[in-house]
Amino acid sequence: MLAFILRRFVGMVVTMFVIVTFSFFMMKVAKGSPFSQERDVPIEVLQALEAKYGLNKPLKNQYMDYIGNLLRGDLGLSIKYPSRTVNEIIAISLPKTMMIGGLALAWALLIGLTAGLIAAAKQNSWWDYSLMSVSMLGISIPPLVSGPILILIFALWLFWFPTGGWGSFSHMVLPSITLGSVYGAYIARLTRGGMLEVIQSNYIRTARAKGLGEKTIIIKHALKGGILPVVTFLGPAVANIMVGSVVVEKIFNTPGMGPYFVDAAYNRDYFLLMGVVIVYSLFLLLLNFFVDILYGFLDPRIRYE
Amino acid sequence: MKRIIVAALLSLSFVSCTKDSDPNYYGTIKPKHSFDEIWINNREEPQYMDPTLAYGVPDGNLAWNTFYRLVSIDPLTGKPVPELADKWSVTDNGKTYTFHMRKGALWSDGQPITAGDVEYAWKRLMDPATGSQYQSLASNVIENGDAFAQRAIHLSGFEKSTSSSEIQSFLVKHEIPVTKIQARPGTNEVFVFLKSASPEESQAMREKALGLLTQEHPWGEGVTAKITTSDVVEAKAIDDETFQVKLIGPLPYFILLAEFANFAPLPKHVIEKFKAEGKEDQWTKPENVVVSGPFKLKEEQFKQYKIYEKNPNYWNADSVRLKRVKVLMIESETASLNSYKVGETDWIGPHNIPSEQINNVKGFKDYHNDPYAGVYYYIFNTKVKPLDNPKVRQALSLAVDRQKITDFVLSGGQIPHIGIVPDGLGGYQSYKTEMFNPAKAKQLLADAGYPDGKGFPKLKFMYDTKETHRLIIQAVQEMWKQNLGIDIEPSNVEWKVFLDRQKAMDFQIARKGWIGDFLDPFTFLEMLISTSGSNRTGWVSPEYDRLMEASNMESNPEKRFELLGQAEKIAVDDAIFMPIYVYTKTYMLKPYVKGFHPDYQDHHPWQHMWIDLDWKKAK
Amino acid sequence: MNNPAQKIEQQHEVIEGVSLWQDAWKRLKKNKAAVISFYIVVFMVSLCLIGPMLLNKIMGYDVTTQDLAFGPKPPSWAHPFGTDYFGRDLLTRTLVGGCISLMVGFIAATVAAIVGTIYGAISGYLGKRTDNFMMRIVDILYALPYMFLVIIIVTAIEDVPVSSIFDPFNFVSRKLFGLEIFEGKLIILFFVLGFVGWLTTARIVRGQVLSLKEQEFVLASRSLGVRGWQIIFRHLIPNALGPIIVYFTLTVPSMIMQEAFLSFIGLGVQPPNPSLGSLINDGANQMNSYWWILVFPRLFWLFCFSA
Repeated sequence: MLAFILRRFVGMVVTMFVIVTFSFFMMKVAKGSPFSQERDVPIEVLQALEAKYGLNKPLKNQYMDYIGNLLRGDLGLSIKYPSRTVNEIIAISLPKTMMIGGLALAWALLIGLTAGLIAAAKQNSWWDYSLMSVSMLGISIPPLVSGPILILIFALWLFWFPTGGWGSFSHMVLPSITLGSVYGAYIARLTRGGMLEVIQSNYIRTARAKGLGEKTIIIKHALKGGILPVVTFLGPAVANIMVGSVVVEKIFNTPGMGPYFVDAAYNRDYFLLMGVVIVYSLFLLLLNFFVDILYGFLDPRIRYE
Repeated sequence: MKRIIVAALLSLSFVSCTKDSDPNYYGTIKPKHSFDEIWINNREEPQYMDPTLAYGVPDGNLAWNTFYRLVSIDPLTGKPVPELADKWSVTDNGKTYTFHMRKGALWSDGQPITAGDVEYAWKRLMDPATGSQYQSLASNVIENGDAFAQRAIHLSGFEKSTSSSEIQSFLVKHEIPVTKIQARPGTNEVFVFLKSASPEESQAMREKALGLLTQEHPWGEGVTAKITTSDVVEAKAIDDETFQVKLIGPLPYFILLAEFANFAPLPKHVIEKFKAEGKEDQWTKPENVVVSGPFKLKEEQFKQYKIYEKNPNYWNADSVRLKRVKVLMIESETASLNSYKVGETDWIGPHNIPSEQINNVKGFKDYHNDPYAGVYYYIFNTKVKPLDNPKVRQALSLAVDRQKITDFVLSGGQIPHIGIVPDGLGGYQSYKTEMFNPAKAKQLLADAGYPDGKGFPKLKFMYDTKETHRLIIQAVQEMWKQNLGIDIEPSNVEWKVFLDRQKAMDFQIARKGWIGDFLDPFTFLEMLISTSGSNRTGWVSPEYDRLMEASNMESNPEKRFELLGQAEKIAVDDAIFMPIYVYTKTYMLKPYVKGFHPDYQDHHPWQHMWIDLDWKKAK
Repeated sequence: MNNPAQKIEQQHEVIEGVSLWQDAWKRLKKNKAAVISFYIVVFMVSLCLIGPMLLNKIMGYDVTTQDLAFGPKPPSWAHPFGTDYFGRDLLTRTLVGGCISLMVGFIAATVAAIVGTIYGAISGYLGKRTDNFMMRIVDILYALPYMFLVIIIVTAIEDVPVSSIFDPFNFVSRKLFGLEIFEGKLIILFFVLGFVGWLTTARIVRGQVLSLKEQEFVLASRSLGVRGWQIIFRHLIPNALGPIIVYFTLTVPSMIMQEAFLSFIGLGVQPPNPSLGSLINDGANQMNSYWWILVFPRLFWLFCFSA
C-alpha cells in the first residue's frame, strides 16, 4: 500500500510537470498578445510592458523563469490586473468558489444518491420513471437556463435571496443549487445504472437467499459495488465543482475563480491562466488518486499494484 | 452550523421586507442605503487604478472621478471650466497655453497641488517606461513630445547648419532605417526617429545608431547624440503656480484633451516615495492613495466593490453632497439589470442592459436613452479583390437598410448613420449622403462586373464573439443576399485574434466600433490617416492626409471644420468604412438620484449627484 | 481512431451468437420503457428530417429568410412555435436545429463512447504500470486549458476545405432544409467534442474493468488461455455495458450544450444555420421578453431526451 502511494505520488509530480509544460507552450502558440488593443500600442510602450512581465525574453528563458518561480511557489504577476499577483488573486477567489462548490457537492450527493437508490430499488415502477425523468430534466436544463429561472423566482419575485454577488450565506444558496443540480442528476442516473448491475449479481442473490431485508441488502451490500461508476465520475466532477463554473459564477456575479478559465484565456493573461490550471490539476490529480484508493475499499477484489 | 442557519434566516427576512415598487418604474423606488450615499455599477474590475495608465471605460470612470484635472467640463453647457487651474490663457496664435494653479487646492494629505505635479504627471504619461497605452494622446500634441515618447535620438551642438537629408543619408548608409528627422523648433538641434517593427529591433537599432554617432562624429566633435530626455518636452512648470504647455499647432481640441483622465496632476511626493521602495504599483491602494478630487478610495474587495468616501481636503468640498459612493463590479448584463431591479444598484450605465431586454424595460420612466459619441462600422480591406473597387464597396454599403437594423434588430434608439463622425461634436455636422438604395447598389455591382452578384466571391466577414455582432451580421447577410444576390460567410473569432488579424490586414470585411476619446471630429477622422495606428483598411489617400494635416494648423474653428468636412466626404464617398449606426447609451437611473446630467461621452461626475428622498413631492 | 472502431464492428460479426452481447440486446428489448423511448427517438428524427420540407412546401417557410419588420411574435396558428427576432418561423428552425444537433450529439457521443471504452478497458485490464501511465495521460488531457485548445483550433482551421466526401450529405441537407450544413467548422467540431468527451468514459470503464477482471469468469477464461483482447471484447466490455450506456445517454445532451458554447465562440454551427443549443441560448437571453423563443426549443429538447 505504502509503495503504491509513493509510486503514485511520484507519478503525480511527473504528470503535473507535463501539464505545466504543455499548457505553457500551448498558450504561446495561440495567436494574440495580452497587449493588443484596437489602437496600436506604441512600440516603446510595448517594450516597457513586455519587459515588466519578461515577455521580451526568448521562449526558453521565459519557461525556465516560470518553472523556477513556480518551485518557489511564486505564480507571477497578473497581466490583466497588474497591481496584483496571481497568488493573491487565487487566494481571494478560490475560497469563495470552494464554499459554493462544497455546498453544491453536498446538494448533488443528497439528491443524486437518494433519487438513484430509490429508482434502483423500485426499478420500472412509477417512482423510477418519474425520478429519472426529473433527473433528465436536470441534465438537459443547463445552469445557463436554470440559473436565470431561479433568480427570477427566488430573487426577483419572492425576494428570498439576493440576485447575486457575495457576502452572506444567502448569497451562496442559489449558485450552489444551480451548480449542484446538474451533477445531482448525473449522480442519480449513474447510481441507478450501477446499482442495477450489482443487484443482479451473484452475491446479492446470495444475500437475498439468506433472507436479508431489502434495505440492508441495498445499503450494506449493493451500494458498495454499485456506486463504483459514481465514485469514478466524482473524481473529475469534484475537481470541476471546486474550481468553479464559469457560467454559474458569471450569472450570479460571484467573485470566484471559475470565470478565469475563460477570461484569462481571452485576455491572454498567461500567468493567471497557468495559475488556475495548476490549481485545477492539483485537485484533479489528488481526487483521482483518492478515487483509486477508494476502489479498494468499495470492492476488495481490486488490488493495488 | 446553527449560526449559519440563523444568519440565513435573518438575511431572508431582511431581504423580503423591502418591496417598494411603483408600476411606472422598474423595480424598487426606495433607496436601500442612507440619503448621502449612492451605489453604482462599474461593470468590471478596473485594470489600472493609476490615472496615467488608465485605459478603457472601467479604469477611466474611477480615475476621472477621483483625480481631477486642470479644467473640467460643465455638465450643463459642455464647455470647459476652471478646476484645479483657476484660469488659463492662450497665446502664440493658439499654440501656447498657460495655466494658473488654483490657490488653496490641496492633495487629500494636505500638501498643496503645484504646477510641478502637473508637469510630473504629463511627462510620466509620455514616458515610454511608464507603459501608458494612452501615451500618444499627450505626445502627439505637445511640442517635442513624440521625440521623448518614441525615444528619438537627440543630436545637438551643430556648428554649421546640417540638412536633415545629410543626416538621413549617413544613417541609411549604415543600414539604420529612419522614419523622420525633425528639427527642434527655435534651435539647430534635431530629433532622429528610427524605424523598427518590434520592440527588440527598436532597442538594437537605437544602440547601433548611438554607438555609430558617438564614435564616428560625422559632423564634428561638438555634436553629441543621446536618447531624448523629458526636459526638451514643452510642458513645463514655470513656478509653483504656473504651468505652460506649447503645442505642435493651434489644436482647438487640446483643452478637451486636458480634461481627459490621463492628464490629471499626480501627487509626485507620494508616487516617488513608493517608486523608491520599488512598489510603484502599490500607491493606488486604499491605504496609500492620495487624490485631488472629491472622492477617495476607502476600501476595496477585488471583483466585488470599491467604496469611495468624500475627500474633505478637496477645494470645492462644499459642493459635494454625497458622503459615500459604492462602486460594484457586476460584469454580466443580466446580473446588473437584476441588481438594479432589487435596488442593489441605483444607476446602471451603458452595456449594462442586455439588448434583448430593452423592449422589456423601455416603457418604464427610469429607462433612459441618450446619444453617445460612438459609431458602429463595417470596414473593408481595400487591399483585396474585389473590395479594392470603390464601386463594390459602395454597392455593399447602399444595399444595407440601416433603418431596419436600428429599429428591429437593436431597438435601443440607435440612429442610422452614413458619416464617419457622429453628429454634434462641438457643432460639427457630419457628411450626409444616400444611405439605402438597393437599385443603385445593384447597378453599381453590375458596373463592377458582377451583374446580379454573378461571379462574386464568397467573402468572409470577421467579427468578435459578441451577441450584438452576431445579430447584426445575420441581418446584413440577408440584405446582401436579397438586394445584391451575393452570399458571405460570417466568421466568429476570439477578441485577441480578431485584433491581431485586423492589424495584420488578414481579413476581408470586419466589424469595428469607435468611441470618441474627446468631443471633436478629429478623434474619429484620425482613424483614416494613412499613418494612423488605427487605420486597418489599407486605404491611403494623400488628399485626405493633407486635409487632416491642414486642419491641425488652422486656428479658425469654422475653416477647420470645413477642412475636416472635406476629408470626411472623401472617405465616405469612397466607402472605405460602411457606417451603420450611431451608438446610444441606454441606462437605468433610480428616480431618487439627482444631479445626473445626460452627456455625449457618458461622463457623469459623482461630484454633482445627490439623493432626493422626496423626489415624488418635487414633481 | 478508425482502427478500434472497425475492430469493434468486426467484433460484432464475430460475436454473432456469443451470448453476452445478445443477452444485453435481449434485456434491452424486454425493457418496455427503453423500447418506447426508442420509437420516440425514431419519430423525432423523422419529424426533423421531413418537417422542414413539408413546412416549406405548404407554408413557404424556410430556415433563413428574414422578415425584420415582422419581428418576434408569440405562437399563432400560422407559426405554432412563434417567430424569432428576425421574423423567422421558429418551428422550422427548431426542427432543422434539432436535426443538426441530434446528429452532432450522437456522432460526438458515439466517438467518445467507443474511444473511451476501448481505452479504459485496455488500461484497466492491463493494470500495473501501463494503467498508471494511461490514466496519467487522461489526467493531463483533462487538465489542459480547454479554452486555449479551442482558440488554437479555431484559428488554425480557419480555411479547412470541406472534402468532397461531404458533397452528397450537403446535397441531401440542401434538399431537406435548403441549407448546406457540412462546413469545415462543423467537421472539426466533432473532433473537439469527441476529444473531450471520451475522458470520463475511459475512467468509468476502467473502474468497472478493474473490478470485473478479478471475477471468477474472467479468471476462468484467463486460465483457459483466452487471449487478452478477446477477454476485453467478449467479457469485460459487455459486462460494463450498463454504465457505458448510462453515461452515453448523459453525454449526448451535454455534447449538444457544448456545441452551443463552441458555436458561440466560433466553432461548429455558424449563423444563420440553427442548432438546438444556440436556439436555447438565444432563448435564455431573451427569456423575459420572448418566452416562446426559449420554451419551444426547450420542450422539443426535453421530448427528445426524456426518451
